[in-house]
Amino acid sequence: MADFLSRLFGKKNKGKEHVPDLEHLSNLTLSKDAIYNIKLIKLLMNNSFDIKSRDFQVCGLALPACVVYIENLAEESIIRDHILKPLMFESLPVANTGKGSLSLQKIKDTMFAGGSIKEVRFLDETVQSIMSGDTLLCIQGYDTGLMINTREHEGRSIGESNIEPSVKGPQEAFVETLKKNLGLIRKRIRDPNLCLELCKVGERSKTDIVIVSIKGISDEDIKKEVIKRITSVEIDGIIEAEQLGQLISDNPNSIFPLFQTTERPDKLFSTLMEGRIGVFLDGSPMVLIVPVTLPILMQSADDYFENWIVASVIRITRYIALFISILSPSLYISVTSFNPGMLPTHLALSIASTRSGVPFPAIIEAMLMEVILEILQEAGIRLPRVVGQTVSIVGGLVIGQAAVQAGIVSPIMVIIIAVTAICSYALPSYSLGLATRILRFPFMIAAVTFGSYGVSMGLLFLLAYLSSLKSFGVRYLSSLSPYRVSDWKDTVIRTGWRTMIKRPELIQHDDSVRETAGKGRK
Amino acid sequence: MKKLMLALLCATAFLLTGCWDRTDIESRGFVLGIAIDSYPPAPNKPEKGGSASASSEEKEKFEKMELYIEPPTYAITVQLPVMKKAELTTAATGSGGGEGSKTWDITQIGNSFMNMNREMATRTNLSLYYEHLQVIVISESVAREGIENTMDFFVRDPEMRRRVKVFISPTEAKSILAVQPRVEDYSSIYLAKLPINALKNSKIVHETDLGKIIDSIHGGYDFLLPRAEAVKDEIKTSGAAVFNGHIMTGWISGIELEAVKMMGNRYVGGVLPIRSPGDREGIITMEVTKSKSKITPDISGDFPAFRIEIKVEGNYAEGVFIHTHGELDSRFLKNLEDDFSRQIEKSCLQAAEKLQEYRADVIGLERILESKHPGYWDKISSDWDDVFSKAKIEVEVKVELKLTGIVK
Amino acid sequence: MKADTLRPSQVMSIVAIAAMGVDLLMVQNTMVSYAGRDAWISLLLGGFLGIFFGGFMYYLANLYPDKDLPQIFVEVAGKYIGRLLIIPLLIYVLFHTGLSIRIFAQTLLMFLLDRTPIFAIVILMVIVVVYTVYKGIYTLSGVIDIIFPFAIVTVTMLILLSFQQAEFDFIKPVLYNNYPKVLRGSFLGLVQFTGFGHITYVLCYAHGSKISWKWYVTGAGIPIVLYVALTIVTIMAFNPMGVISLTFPTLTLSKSIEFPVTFLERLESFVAMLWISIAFGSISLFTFSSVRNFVALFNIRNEKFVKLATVIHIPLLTIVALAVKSGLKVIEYYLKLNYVLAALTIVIFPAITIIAAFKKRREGKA
Repeated sequence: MADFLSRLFGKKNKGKEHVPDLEHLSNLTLSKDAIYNIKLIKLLMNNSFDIKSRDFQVCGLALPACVVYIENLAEESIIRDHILKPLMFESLPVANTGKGSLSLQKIKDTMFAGGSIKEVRFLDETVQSIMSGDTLLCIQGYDTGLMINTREHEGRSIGESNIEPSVKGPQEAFVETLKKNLGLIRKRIRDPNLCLELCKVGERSKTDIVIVSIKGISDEDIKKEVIKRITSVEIDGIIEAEQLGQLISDNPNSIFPLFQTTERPDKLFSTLMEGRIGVFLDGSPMVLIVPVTLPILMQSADDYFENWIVASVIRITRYIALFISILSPSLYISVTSFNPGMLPTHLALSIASTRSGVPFPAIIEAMLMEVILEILQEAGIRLPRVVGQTVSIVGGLVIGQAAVQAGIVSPIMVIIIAVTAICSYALPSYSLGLATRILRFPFMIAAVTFGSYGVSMGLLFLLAYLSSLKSFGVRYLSSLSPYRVSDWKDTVIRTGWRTMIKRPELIQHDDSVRETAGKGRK
Repeated sequence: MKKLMLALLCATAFLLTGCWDRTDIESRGFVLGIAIDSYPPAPNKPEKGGSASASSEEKEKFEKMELYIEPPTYAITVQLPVMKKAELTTAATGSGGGEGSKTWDITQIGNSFMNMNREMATRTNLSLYYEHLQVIVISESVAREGIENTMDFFVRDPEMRRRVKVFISPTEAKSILAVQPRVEDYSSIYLAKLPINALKNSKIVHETDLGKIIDSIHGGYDFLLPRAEAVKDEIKTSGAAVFNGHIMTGWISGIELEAVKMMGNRYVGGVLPIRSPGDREGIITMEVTKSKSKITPDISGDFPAFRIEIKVEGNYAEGVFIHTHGELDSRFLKNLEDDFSRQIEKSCLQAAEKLQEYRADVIGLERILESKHPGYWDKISSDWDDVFSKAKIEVEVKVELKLTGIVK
Repeated sequence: MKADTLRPSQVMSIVAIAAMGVDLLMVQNTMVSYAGRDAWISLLLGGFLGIFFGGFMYYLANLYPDKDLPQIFVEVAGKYIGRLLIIPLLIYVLFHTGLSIRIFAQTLLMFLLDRTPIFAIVILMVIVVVYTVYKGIYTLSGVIDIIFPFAIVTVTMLILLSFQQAEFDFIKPVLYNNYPKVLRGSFLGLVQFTGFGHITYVLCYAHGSKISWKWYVTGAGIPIVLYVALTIVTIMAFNPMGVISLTFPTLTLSKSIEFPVTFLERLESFVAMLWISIAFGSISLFTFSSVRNFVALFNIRNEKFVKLATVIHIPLLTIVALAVKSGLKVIEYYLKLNYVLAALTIVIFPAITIIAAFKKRREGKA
């Protein structure tokens, strides 16, 4: 991270020269002396070697001018073809035929074919723009510079979604470039009410942040709150949308995700249609979505592309997976060590006989296997692809079968752990999966102290905790509790599109009817 | 700050606590069956096998060592599964099977059941656990003394389950647990599953749950318990012990039991063979699908009279040694139905007579009387046993054959 | 962003869960011991009485839509008399909560945990309850909303499954020579439904949305129907004498259900788990009311002290729960506490309501 930041800011700490504080620049303006301006700007940027400037004469006349840009951000071909060429050669006829002398206005109006051009007067905005990849054109004798957009949008091209794959849905995923991302969402929603608002976060990084919402569907209060929280973030630099999410979340200590991130444009699309708000962050392929509730985190994109009955069954399965992944080790402990009466007789006898050689009590056995599972998962993420085979062999064979044959754990325990792991992957939200992995441990402790009573109390505590959480004023368990019957059509089950006429109630809308679906019924 | 305190309190609660109730599943002794015999054993029963070896004598010394109260009156045997053996069978390594018993039967002698139970703890490395108890077998000699005090421990202890099946054995109860069944590993589970077959055979008492019996004892109702007898690898249950209050007063046979179940509206299934009408060699079997009884009390006389109307529905299930084919017309069926009715009526009356002799109203006539004529009931309830034994019972049976199978 | 408010359906689930609670396990025993085989009629009558007296409270709460019960006391009866009146209420709620926790712990001790010290069971329950109350009424109601459907479904399932072993003859003859007991028993029935009073504590949080009488009656009706059905089916399954001999007939009922699928054979453990959450819901609601009583009695306005009043319930409830040594005495006291409640319900609440109504009318005229 430190390495990355220093690269981002150039060699700002090199030399003893005091770095001018950009805050104090707001009053400084450009002077009429172009050469001085260039020097000043370079000085402000600590004379980094990649700041390029070029002096030239406009139209070959004695009108000295200069361009400044950062080599690695600006596209040099644009500067060459669209700034230098017209100004130096092609402008001659214009200059000759034109009445009066050559003014800045005239140059701006007649000599640039490029799209975006802007006049600048203050040094701070000038430096900002140069840092973003724009090119400054200073002309001798004018205290106004021209800022020409030469930003280069190199970067990954739009590819498939890796983190949230979908079977039938669109395969496109967001990339690290803000402009491409915004294009992806504009392309899908051709509504003039789609609002994009720009903020900047990071004292030093000045990262672009775009807040997306659809006016009339989203709750203006929530939007204001989002903007308020984003602008009040105080941080040097920001890299990932997740990071921003934690900074603006209601309860930063919660292990449950209080915001949703996605890399799928179609997912963002449908959340916007429900009236929620997306936050883009330049340089991050993930989009932040707020507010979020637990039932929303349990939805996956594919739910909406399948027949509603199939989708509902799959979604219910997912809820079962959520419970299994949190509870199965603790239930195993509480049932075997406390209340074997809860098991059918034959099962109790067979568990007892498989456990009869195991030296550890159930809790140690479970903890051991859980910790090993966690390590395996971590190893699986970190390891280089080339050695991937090793982990699966070692993990699967050695820890599974060999441990049982060596009599360290019982076969039932291996099944429990395997089921737990699989269930936590079945959750559509990775962050939620992480939360369940952590929750297993307190539940195991509760189980070993109080048996099934401990597990029940743990569940109730968890329930109280979840129900006390809020995400931007929306209760985390909304639509499950308090009941919003009309929202149940898309909570634990998903009903057909024709029945989902209304948008979810958990956000206040001016326009609460989904037009397309509603027309068929009216 | 307060949150911190709250969290701290939570943490201390967990840390202060140990794992008081934790007992790993493999160190529990799952008691699957209990046999209750009287002690000393009834003298007329010869000791099983003359070869009472030295080891068994020593064992007996163990069984009655250090009693609180002399003389002991009961001998209780618990059956524990032997886990290692169970593992062998699941591992399917072939040769393991035969040798040794899969269960460990511990016998203890004493007066109080709780005491005997804890006394066994001196002889086993497992902590006895009763929640998976399947059956209780009580020997006739104990049952004749009354089972209320025997049952008390099993009812009071919350570990006990109400679905435990109770059987009465005419011989030593212990010998029933000692059976080594063929398919099932443990005789207790084998025995506990037998009453399911009451759907197939009406000679089995199916309402034999411990809970039901306790309710009957508390409510003052008479009840039946199934009779269980054993050979080396089989247990047979047929017929029932009749209880007046909590004291066993006699046996009824399987066929009588069938009639009692029909009268008491407890019939769930079975077959009934009779001689074919008009063909002395043929035997026709009816599979009873439904049997409903309706009891109407009449209190005009000195003693109440009960009219029991039984409506039986069944299928013509089988005919053997029938020489005359193609006779399944309506007239034949009508005759057949009448024959069946007569047969059932006869056995019902016989059974009722026997019950009156035992003074045990297991049909449930008292409940009918109580709900239909509460005023009359209040007058006679104190000596109901007497009244019952003198009451007049009339039975009227109507049999209806519905199907004749897929052959004409 | 929307401000939090209780929705009408939440008022329903709060009233229903508050009325069930620990009693769910013992209601049949209490009722049958008194009124014999016709206990269910007493219970039904008691339920109607409960709705009736609850109606007073509903009316009272509607007169002062932004105040809860103890605050209304102060408002109606004046600063001093009002607080004096809060004291019995406070004692009743506090002791009812504490003793409920104790009975809860005792039952667990009997059915699930043998050697765990009762202190540990109590303190765990108290901590989780106080945590929930600490997080506020909206969190609490959220939890109850989740518990509610499970509770209803489980109890209904239990009732339906028990019908296979029910014998209809046991509840006959209906009302034979038993009128006086049944009528007197209806007051005993009434106190089974003390939870209805929570309407006055929660109604003030439902600002904005109109809580109709309908939701309240539905909320009150659910436990009545369930209790009556449960009592009938228990009597039919165990016969009246059998019910008297069982301390916790509901658990016994779930233990005796014969179910063909082996996995569901152990239905009682599910019932026990569910019962833990029902008891939790009811105890939390009572604790919440107790906190509100404290707040009104000591006139606490600062949010910080309200939280302190909540936290102080951890030692308070633990002490009340553990004060009585004998387990049998606890149930006895628990039932005796009902006299305080009867006095409150029959005398004080209607009186307050009438005074309040007069007051309002005079204000309206002036």
